[in-house]
Amino acid sequence: MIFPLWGFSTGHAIPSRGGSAVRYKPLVPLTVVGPAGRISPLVSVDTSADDVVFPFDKAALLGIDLSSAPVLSVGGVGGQPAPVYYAPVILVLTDHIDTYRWRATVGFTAAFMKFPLFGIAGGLEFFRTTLDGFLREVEIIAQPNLPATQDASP
Amino acid sequence: MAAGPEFIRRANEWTPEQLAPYEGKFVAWSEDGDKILATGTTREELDAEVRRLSLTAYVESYVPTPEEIRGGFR
Repeated sequence: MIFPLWGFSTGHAIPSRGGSAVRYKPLVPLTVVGPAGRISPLVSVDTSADDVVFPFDKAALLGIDLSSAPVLSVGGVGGQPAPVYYAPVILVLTDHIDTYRWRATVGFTAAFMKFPLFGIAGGLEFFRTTLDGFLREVEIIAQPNLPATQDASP
Repeated sequence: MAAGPEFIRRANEWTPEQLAPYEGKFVAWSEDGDKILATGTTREELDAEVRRLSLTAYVESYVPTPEEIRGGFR
């Protein structure tokens, strides 16, 4: 499935963009299904992020209890090492023609993020991901290792 | 139905002037990208507003400021 890059316009020229006032980013709407709720944040497709990571407070909205969840101190989230708590969810990506729905163990952290991370483990490891700067789009194609599910809840 | 590529196409049509009131805020977009349904200066504020409005179908995002866009952000 193909998503347009998200265009952020500043109204002022950006030197590295040849004077253009627009930055383009691969942000896609990803639905997260938990035991007691779902959310649909715009997430950053980040091939250098190790995990799929969401803000800590979203766990409660999903009905996830992180009190006994495995935790790791992870560097790079918000600039400083921060605890990331892991829990199983179902992730859904759609272009309204195809729908990818799969099981994943994702992280939750209190470190500030402007956009949640759609990183490798539990996420991009199941896809071929291509950023096309000319067409300004990101193509995400499921691979045979996608742990697909039709279950209603994790 | 969850949002897909069409959501981004529609949201990309918003002009900087239309987005100006939301700069630096967390927002809940309608799933068609045509409207912003709720805002908050923090995620917690947005969550509270989403609950107050009983919204169930929306896409949550951050709207960066022009300064953040120029300097780059993650």
